[in-house]
Amino acid sequence: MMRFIRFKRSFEIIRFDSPELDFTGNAFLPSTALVPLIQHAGVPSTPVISAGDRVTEGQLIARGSGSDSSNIHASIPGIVTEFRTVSLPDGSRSQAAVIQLSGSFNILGRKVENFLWRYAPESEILRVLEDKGVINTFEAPVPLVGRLRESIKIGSPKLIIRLFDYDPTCQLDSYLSKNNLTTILEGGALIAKCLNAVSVHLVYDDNKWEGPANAQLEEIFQKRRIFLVKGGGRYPSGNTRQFRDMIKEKNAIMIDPVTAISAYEAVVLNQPVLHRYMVVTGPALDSPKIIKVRIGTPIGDIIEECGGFRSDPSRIVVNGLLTGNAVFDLDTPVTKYTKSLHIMDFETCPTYTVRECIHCGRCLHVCPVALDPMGVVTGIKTEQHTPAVLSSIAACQYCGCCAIVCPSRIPLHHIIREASTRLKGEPK
Amino acid sequence: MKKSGWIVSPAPFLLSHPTISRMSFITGITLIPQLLLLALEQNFIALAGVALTVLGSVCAELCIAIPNKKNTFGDGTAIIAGILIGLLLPSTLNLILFFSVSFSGMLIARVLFGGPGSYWMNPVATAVCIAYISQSIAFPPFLISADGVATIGDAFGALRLDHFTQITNDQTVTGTMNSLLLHFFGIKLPEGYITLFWSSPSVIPAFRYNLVTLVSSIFLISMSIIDWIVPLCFLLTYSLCIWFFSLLPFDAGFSGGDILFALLTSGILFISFYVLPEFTTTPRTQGGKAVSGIIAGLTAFLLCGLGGSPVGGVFTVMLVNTINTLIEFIENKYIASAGDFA
Repeated sequence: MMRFIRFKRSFEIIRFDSPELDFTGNAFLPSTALVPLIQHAGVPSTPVISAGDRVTEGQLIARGSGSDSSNIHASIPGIVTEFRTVSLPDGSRSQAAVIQLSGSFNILGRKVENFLWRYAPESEILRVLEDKGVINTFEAPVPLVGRLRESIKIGSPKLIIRLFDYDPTCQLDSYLSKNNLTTILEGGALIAKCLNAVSVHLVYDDNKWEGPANAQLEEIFQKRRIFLVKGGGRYPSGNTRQFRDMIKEKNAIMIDPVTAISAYEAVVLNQPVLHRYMVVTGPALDSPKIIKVRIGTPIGDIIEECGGFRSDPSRIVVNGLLTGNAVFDLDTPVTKYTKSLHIMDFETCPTYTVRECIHCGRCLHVCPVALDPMGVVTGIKTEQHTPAVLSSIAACQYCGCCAIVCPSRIPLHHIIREASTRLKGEPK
Repeated sequence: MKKSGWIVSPAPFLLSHPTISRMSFITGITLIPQLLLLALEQNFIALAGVALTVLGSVCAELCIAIPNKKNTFGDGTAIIAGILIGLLLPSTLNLILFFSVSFSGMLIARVLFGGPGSYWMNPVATAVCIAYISQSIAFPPFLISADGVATIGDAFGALRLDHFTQITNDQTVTGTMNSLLLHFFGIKLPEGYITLFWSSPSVIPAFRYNLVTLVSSIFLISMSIIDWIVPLCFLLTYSLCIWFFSLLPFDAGFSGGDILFALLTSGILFISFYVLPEFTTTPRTQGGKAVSGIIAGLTAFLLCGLGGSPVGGVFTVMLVNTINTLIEFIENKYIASAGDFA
């Protein structure tokens, strides 16, 4: 089915072909899971097990060291054979615990718990979220509890739940919002409780709101003020800066459906983050589907489960075609921040050569914050860090609209992001 | 421990526009019918001229790319520029000049007027202007004279007075169109316009096949290979000027100028779709493009007059490219301050 993505500014349209996807259940358990010791931005977790140890399903294998770190658990039972350096879906490399599947499961197939969180104190919910290693995948993956505590300290926080994908090609958040809305709302409600949020904003896509009515929502969110906000529809929609502008409030916690579901599973079902829903699709894949995958499963295993390659893949893209990363190692494991896998062929995703700018001005027309991306890049290249260039670097949302329309294939937003990182590192 | 990251390939993996190489390829495809028609008409001198201009353009590109160690050759723009230069030069031009003007035009435009992607003078127009200066006698004179227009009262009538040879089927096609389509609108197309559309009498190949150029332009615009604002504003302004003011010097009053004749005889269509909207030499904002197109239309009216000019279109491009630098200067100030001019 051909889908169309409209830009927020400009009449340009991106076309992409995607089949109708359905959830097909749990993926096969991996015979070997590669569980990375860092699955979020911040400080790596400290391993609490050694090679040769036997671990149970859901056992803590690495402890978060501070508010910028999060606990990591064994996604399958078995023996830790070694610690190995693996490539991660975000392009970095990390140590991973290699777990060889063996032994019995103590979560899978067991009776599901139902913790009555509404009667629990906020501190208890926070502790459980921290213990179970819940991270926020709204944008860059960050430990959730650290951010929640910061927000509580500032006071009067608001909670925003984005019910659609920031990158529309990813499709997972939209799917989960449509099919698991009750779980997402309950997960959001327990986060709102421990945050003591003054209001909750549910931002849905450009379709009609099909969830519970306002009165019902107030019931779910324990009498908090609820705002149903229509968002999405055009790219880019739903990043931190846009939401802050929307609610005119800096102290807000923004979450996506995946985070809400993780919070629900951690608190209500008493389960650590052991698996992820994943959209697995792409023209070079035989059977696209949505599956629930154990963390640490090599992406090669997932592709095999989806029927393997239909044609020669040109790229394997993780987390969306507009903002994701290409990986080349089939042993790259699924992490807490993995949402989708696109297996692209050479026809839809060929290799491009970066050429000189032809001055077409398309980047200027599509930039959602009305920057002149090529002008900024020229300023960066010539090291003319004028106030205009510096303010543009600060205002860039890294959405990649400029790069999407660029006929010279200049990675404009990556250059601006790199310059931003360097400038932040420079002494003032 | 997390080590420094390496990105295998940066996002986005979904793109909304063709690459420069693809744009060049599609532009090349749209030029093939013109070359085929030249071959069918056995105009081998013109074809040889095109081959030589392509060679000259490619050599110039290599001269720039090799010392700079930049891969600018692979995008195919040099080949397209070569074909365009060849089509805009008269087949009566000295064959050596085909190569040398193409080579020097490309070199001057890309070295003196800025590097690849930042030159502000169109290399095609530069090359044709060099050819005109080098051997102006090879270029045909104006198709019509002021005396002719004053005598007959309109531009096309003046052309017909002057040994204008119609194609064989002109009469039949004109008759059919008039009886089947145009009479509903109360319009009667005079004989000869079909000839101007299909194979205008000119030694400059780009001026000949206006219908093919029009069809090609639809492809180019629909596939976003060229921008539509500049050609639209240019053609609209030029047409309005022709309609309202072209007969003023002949005391025929306002309105009544022959727009079709003006558009079909000076290579205006070819230049408006293939040369004028070149991204590198036009402003980047939509407002800037519109202003540039309007100025181009006014300039073309001043240089080409009622039509039939051999180099008026090309000199229009040169002049507007110069003015565009000023438009861009103002445009950049708007972008920097308001950020909402685009």
